[in-house]
Amino acid sequence: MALISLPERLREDFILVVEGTVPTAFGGHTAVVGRIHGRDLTALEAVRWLGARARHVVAAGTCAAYGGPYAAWPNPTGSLPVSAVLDRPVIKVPGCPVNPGWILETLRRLGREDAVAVDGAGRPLFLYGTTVHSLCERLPLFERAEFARGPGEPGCMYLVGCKGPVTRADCPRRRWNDQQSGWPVGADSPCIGCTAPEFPDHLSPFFRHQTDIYISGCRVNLHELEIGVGSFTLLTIAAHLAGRIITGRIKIPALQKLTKAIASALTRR
Amino acid sequence: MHKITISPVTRANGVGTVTVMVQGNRVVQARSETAIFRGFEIILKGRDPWDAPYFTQRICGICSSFHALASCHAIEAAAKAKVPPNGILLRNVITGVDLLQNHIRHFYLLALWDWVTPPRGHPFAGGYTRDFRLSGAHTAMFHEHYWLGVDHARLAHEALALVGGKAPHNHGIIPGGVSMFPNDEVLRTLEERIGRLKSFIEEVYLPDVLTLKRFYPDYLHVGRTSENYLSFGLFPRPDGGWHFPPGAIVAAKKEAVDFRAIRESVAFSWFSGEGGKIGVEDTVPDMSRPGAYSFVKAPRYKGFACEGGPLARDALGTREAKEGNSVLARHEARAREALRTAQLLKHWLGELRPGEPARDHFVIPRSCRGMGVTDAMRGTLLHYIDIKGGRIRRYQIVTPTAWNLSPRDDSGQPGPLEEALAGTEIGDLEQPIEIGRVIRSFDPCYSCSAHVLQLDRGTKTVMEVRA
Repeated sequence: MALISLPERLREDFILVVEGTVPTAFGGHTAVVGRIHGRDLTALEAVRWLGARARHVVAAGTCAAYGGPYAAWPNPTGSLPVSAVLDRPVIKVPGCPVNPGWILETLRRLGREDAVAVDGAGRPLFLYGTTVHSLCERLPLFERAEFARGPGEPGCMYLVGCKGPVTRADCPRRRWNDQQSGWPVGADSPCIGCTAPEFPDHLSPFFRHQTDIYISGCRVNLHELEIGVGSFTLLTIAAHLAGRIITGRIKIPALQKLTKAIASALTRR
Repeated sequence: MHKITISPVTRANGVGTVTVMVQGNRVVQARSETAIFRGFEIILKGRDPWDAPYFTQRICGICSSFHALASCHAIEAAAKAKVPPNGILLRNVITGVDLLQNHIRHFYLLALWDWVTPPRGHPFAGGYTRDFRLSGAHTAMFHEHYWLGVDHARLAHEALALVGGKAPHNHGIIPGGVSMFPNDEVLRTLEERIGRLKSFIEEVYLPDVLTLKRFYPDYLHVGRTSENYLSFGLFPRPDGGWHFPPGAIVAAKKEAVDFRAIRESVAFSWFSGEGGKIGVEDTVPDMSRPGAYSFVKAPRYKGFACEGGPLARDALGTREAKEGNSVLARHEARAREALRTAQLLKHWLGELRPGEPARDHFVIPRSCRGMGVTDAMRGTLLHYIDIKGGRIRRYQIVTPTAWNLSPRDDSGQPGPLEEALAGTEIGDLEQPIEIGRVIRSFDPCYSCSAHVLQLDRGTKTVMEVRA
């Protein structure tokens, strides 16, 4: 019913909000959103059909924005983000899931203004302008090198695999489901980087400090290789640390403690 | 012979198609068709086993916490880990409030408009105008209750986020137990929320279902399956056992579940090969398979298509609903189960032991295998993990939707939904509102049906796309 009446409603002005990846393998037939007049309507066709007519296209959630878990290696359904199947700008509001506040505030801005300023990854700057790490209530613990050794401990989750330093979102300030303890670190667990374009392949294992790297179709981890090259997170975190030292936020004794803690974490497991 | 196609089936989450063949005004055959596949088991291969609980939650935003639980159960079985009482209780709290979220949301957001004239312009209105039997006053009351339902489903997620960090896709359930032991303030808030949820279920949700029974008594006879039931158990007790006990009822005989008796058939599914046992079969997708109509395989227990969910748990446990097997019996069993869960939630909070661990610290052996089971909102959930060299070698998931919405099997036996639809009388072929009522009594959700498949060599197979 809803599908049959859709063409009529398309004459109105509308913003298209897409959830989920767009599978392209097998002609897009692994995701049929419904049957209209006896014919399957694939997600690919639906996004192209509606996307061509919408005033704005908004990708809600990491799958629609960047591919996310469903386009994760080896991407068996050939899933693509919305922007890859449309020849027009797509506003990306990632998150796994997307926080309702992020999507509602984006839509509210689009209702008032013609455009919303985005970062290099297509995300609204007013929502994704800072890293989770820089807003985290445990940042002082990081700077004092008071680290948790596993989930469930009150320290900084950095060595438990926290991806906060490389993840842009306002979770620590906004909180989830309006709850004071409502965000991953609030539940004594690491941030897994769900708003990042690299999520999940280049930000996993979730509970490991070093992330997997992909070499000629194989997935390997530094601790398995035991070699000294940096994976994505490690490099970015190293850059972040350097910045903190240069600006004097981290003092030398704390730095020595930090280096020691990281070194012991790297040789663990 | 008439053919009626309902597509998409659900009003909000996921996609699916049901086709029924009608002779005269009676459904003679139904087909539950699922044309969605995402290859989740392939994606899990090669990953760190620790990631599986967070990863598998991404299957579905409605029942995410139960995927985390089944995944942890599989890992803990493989590693022979023992979850401490606090871990079991807090996991029950997380999954318990998630179950309340689901049951309330299903009734008010998705099922209500099968029975109540929607307000003008309501986005979920099905476009039907016939057979709405409630009085004007009752209709107005349900419109108010709709918003209460939306509020309380949200309240349940808020309660979950207190101990799980966020909802859906919580961070609290991890291998060995839970990540966080709530402090006194969080516990008090949690208790207050659970109290409000309990009052809502007692004073609004359950009475609303009973009101429907009064106006639609014929639906206590519509939508029957053959009453073969299966449950893997819901809410484990710290001292062993389950609050909702596992079991099977097949051919009117109640028995303990024998997990070796589960087979998956692919006779009418888009896969080649023969199907077979959990954990050993390999399946290759093949959209050219003659007669196939679904990306869901047909799991069977001792050859029987089994119904799962609140009605099955009721039949195997307390038998509170006492209404046999029908559309409204399913709704009533769901509401009564919500009430019992709300009572249990209060009890679990009282059982917590502050100062004791909430998690077992253990190392996953580099090579091991394990099966993890639990019931989820809609029925039985099974995760199977095979770890080699510290990485996932094989992962398999058999979801409730695979049981309830399964296609036919090798012997031509229909799935429970297909069975329930057969025989349904339709008052007006132009407005077949009866079909939606039967379908939605199962609380259909297609998100997970996209992932019940195992495709070890599938990615290399060229599939023929249907015309």
